[in-house]
Amino acid sequence: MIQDLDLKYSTRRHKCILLPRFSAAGELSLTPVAVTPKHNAQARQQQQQQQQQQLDAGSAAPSQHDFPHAIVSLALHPSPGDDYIRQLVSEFHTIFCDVQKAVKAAAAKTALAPVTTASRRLSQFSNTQSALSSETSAILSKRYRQALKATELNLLHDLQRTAIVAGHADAQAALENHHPVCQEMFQTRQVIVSSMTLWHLCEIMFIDTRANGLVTDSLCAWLQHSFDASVERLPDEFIPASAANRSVEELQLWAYIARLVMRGDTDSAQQLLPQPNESPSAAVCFGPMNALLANVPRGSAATSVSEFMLAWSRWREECRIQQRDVFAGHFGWELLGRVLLGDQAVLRKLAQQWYELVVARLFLVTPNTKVFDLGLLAQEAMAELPPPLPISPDQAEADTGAGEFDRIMAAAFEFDIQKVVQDCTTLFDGWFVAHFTDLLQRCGKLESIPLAYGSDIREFFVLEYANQLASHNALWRLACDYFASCSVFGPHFLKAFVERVAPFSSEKKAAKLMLTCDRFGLTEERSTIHKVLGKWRLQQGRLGAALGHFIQTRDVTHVTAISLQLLDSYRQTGVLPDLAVLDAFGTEVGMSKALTILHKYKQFHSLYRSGDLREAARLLVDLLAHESAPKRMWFTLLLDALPLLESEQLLFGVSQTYILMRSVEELCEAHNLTSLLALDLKADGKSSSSSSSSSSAASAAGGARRQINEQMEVVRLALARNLSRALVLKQQ
Amino acid sequence: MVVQASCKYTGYKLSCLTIHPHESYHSEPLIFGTGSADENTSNRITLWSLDTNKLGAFDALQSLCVAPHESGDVLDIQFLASSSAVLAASSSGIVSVYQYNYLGENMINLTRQAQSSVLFSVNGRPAPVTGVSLQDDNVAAVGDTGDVAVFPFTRVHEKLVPTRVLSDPDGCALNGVSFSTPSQIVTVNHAGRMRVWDLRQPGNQSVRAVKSQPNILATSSYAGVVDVWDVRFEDAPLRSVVISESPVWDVRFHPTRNSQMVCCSEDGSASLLDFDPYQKYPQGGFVPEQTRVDGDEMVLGCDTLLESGGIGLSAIDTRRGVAIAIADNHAVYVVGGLE
Repeated sequence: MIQDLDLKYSTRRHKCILLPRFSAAGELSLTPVAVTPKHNAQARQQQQQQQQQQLDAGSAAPSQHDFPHAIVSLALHPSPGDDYIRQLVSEFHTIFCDVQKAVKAAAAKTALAPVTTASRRLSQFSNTQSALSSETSAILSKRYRQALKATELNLLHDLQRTAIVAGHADAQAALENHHPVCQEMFQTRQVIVSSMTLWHLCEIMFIDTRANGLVTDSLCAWLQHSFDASVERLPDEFIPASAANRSVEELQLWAYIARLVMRGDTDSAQQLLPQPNESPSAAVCFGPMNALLANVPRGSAATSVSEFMLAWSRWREECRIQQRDVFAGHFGWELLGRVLLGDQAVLRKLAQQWYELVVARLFLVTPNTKVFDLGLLAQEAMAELPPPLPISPDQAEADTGAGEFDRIMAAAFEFDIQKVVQDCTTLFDGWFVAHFTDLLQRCGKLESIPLAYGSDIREFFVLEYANQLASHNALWRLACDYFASCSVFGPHFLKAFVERVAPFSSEKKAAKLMLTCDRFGLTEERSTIHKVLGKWRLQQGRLGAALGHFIQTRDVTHVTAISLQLLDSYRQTGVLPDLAVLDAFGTEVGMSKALTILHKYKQFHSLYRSGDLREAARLLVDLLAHESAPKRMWFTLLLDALPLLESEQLLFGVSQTYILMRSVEELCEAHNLTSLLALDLKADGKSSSSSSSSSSAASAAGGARRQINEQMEVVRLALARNLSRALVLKQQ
Repeated sequence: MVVQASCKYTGYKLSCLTIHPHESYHSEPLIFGTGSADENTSNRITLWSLDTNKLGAFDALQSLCVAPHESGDVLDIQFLASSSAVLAASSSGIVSVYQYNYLGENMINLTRQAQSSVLFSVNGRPAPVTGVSLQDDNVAAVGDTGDVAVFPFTRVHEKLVPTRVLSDPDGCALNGVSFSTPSQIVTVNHAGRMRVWDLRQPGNQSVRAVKSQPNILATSSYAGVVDVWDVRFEDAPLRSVVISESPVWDVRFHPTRNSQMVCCSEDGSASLLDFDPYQKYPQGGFVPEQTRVDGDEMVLGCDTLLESGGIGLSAIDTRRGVAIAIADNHAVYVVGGLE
């Protein structure tokens, strides 16, 4: 099993994700730039004010960003689009973690609630996790959209800056002049905008189901936010013969107002209506039209569907009366009247896209349509206003542009969640699909269908995405959270991944990695990382740090080897490294005899330094008495005892002195001394590696033996003196 | 009242953060710098402006300029305001000098001027410089190898070589460095040892100092504890506070309010500590625990700036009632209302 996972993992490591795949995005006409009719100065001013208000409220996507800071230098990054996708990746991760937390909280709540035997049995069989409430999921879904929005605003801001730094008047000019960086940024923006559009639609259709089943208002808001209502010209059919002398701008204005009404943006439409003093028609029609637009019944305000439908029928009747009595025969006003009455022919002619037609019909013809029935409306609309590219399945492979996007939107309208998810994978990258399927499944809208090649569809996409993140050096920490959120295969992936996050660029990164192991309960992996770090430090010759890591993994072999190496180096050089690492350990120092001695020896030195000589003396005797220290250390220990023996205060009692004397005599036995000498000579030979003829070796051995004997004589003398002092003291 | 003002996702992994030391007027935006550690892909040093009068607004936090940093991850940055320079410690064993100049209101140009020789290396391979500190014209850099390099600040490429290298006897990686006085530096290492080095003496004699109280230091630890030390009394910290069960990665004093400091932890929490080590003992100075007679505890307030449970925060700094922190999810968090 794990081998498989490894293979899968390794084949994906080199895959790079963060480049948007959505190359044909430029073909989508998703610019939210409203074309304001030019002839009506007042209307334009109002529109501008409105835009400004929206901007202030942070609700609209402004095309002309108001930059509060002056332009500064911007070093251009090789692929500027990446940065923004990375921003999304980071922010989505935060929200993703919050989704998982919310799921846990919901599960805890369910666990606390009294559970009947029947419901428990049911939940066992249904195999569904406790779903998020629709309120919580709607909040989380909105946060995802806010993240997209924030990234888009950042991008627009930087796009403008980049354009001006590059010497263009603004972003538009830079794009027209095919500035490569600006173009790439613009393409990235298109990806973000289209994902925002789709997410919003799916949120209305699948996630935010709090309302009384009426989705008209939400869908109107979706259309208003996502697509603009710009018009090229009024369709010829609506231009009566009497209007031949009208200006193009005026015709455009009427078409624009009509489209605003069709998408439910009655507030904007009201502001653009010709004022009563502008023409005789307006003097008659403005009042009634303004009242009709102001009083459109809103589903979100109604408490029940029947109450809403009653209000709506009354309003519709009022429209019919006003159309017959007032608007008829007045250019423009009559058109608006027909729109309000939901004249199918007018709606079809004015609508530029099929989804616009869906929303218009929903708003003006059948406002009580439920989410599940929208598919029919969508199918009709698509038949009447086909998307720009054919949507036959045969062309799906080649088609990555507008047609594809329309197809996903159509699937959403048809409430076909599986199809939406499936088609998203062709159009968007992992970051979209993984978070989208996760949220859908967490709120209980995406059925947990077992896959032949994995756990379920959510886990499949999340793991896929986590693997993509794992291929990037800087995103390993984020990848871990995604792996951990997958209950079936996630732990295997996580284990395999954590061991591969190396190389450790620094001790801090290693520490972070081990904390991640702790967090997800990966004790074995943590141990492996310590081993790797220990080896790494050992190779660098930093024994203290290496020792610390090996103690953590309880690697007795290495701990013993390093402890002996440290003791030997002390014996030869007289310098014991300040082993602060040992302070952090308690009972662990007992894992290896050599480590215990090293630890005691370190204690001895710190006691000696701090002036606690009596305790230091006791520790030294302890090391020799139980023969815990290896014989080759004895000589060093006895030399260390010298200053203690010579101190004014009597530190060794009679029995302790006897132990020291016994040690001296035992050490001076021929074979012990020879082996000590052999060890030293070996070390010397290693260090000098000069000409090693047998005679020079023999003379060196002789010299060393003599030196040891001389030093032992000094120790013997000190011991004898100490013994006599101890005996005298004992008698007293 | 403490408010989380904003959170900005940068799109690259942040590793260090420092606020510009210049105490600007309240009308002017705060300038701070961040370094990235995108693991050798494309690193950069970014200078940001934070308009403290517009906290919470979408455009309150703006990146002013970005300079590419080609040689490895940036592990620490420091401003040298008097010379309009930014020092960046890098994972490739060098310290780089960047020059910034104001081109007008909110216009900054940041360019790389010089870089030091490879300060630390192991087996011929460069080892990371984990921290850098400077005082007057002296720069101290510490490395993963456990060494401290001291060199004079200059913009001349060739002259950026260590005049002195000190070695930590623990053989552990050094995590931070700070000048406590012009001739005294303090380092902390991975084994949890703080050391004070006297540059006037040839031998070896620990992380941010308060300017007006050079003897007071604060250290944060892997065990989630923040210790406040008086370097004259090395045996025990003046005060220890358990902040978290996870490592506390950074602690900084408020530059003007000596009793305030901020710290941030791996568990995603950020705290504001307010204490006054000598509040209870105005005449007697520091009184060790053992000799206290009335058993008074020092007063210490701890406010949570960011709740735990999120992703780890790796660095934090504070100025003018605002705390700025950087997180492992590549975001910059701004918390306001600290005053």
